[in-house]
Amino acid sequence: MMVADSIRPLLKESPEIVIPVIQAWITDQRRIEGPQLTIGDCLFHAVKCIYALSQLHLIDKQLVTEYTGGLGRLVLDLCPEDQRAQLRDNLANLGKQPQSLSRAPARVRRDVGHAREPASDDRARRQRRFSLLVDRLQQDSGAAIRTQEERSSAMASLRD
Amino acid sequence: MDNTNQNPPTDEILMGLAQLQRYLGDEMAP
Repeated sequence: MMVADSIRPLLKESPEIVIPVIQAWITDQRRIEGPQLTIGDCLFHAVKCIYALSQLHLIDKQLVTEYTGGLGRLVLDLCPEDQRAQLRDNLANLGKQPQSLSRAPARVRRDVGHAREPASDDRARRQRRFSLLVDRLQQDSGAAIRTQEERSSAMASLRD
Repeated sequence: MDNTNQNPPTDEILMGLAQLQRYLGDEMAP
């Protein structure tokens, strides 16, 4: 069953019922990423994930727009005061720019039958990891060379 | 619309919530 089929019935209910799910997700994300990940950004991201279902034409756009409007008001109440203005702006701009498929949530991309492409954040993280790996390999090979030089030098001193 | 507090959630709603949890769980942090 596609994710949209399961989520569609939720959109006929009060948005309040999804709040505990969103809160649990934010707690998990902040445990992984650390407190630099703001609650306001997480709240927006959760709303955006639901909104993406309409942008991919998986759920009726009007239904999702009305639902995310109500959900948006609820998440604004949950948002720390110093992040609220930013979240309000983000929510107001939701849907004004068409979301590209590669930026759509991963599970939705799988549902619509496209190969999973890493999101740009994901790609940046992979590149960073790759750079670290290359750096480490260079350091390791440098260490190996030094060790080899040291060995040769030690051998040479034994011969002398 | 706001009568969810009066009625226990149906299986369909519980399944939707579980699916939403997995859907968000698949997502990386913003």
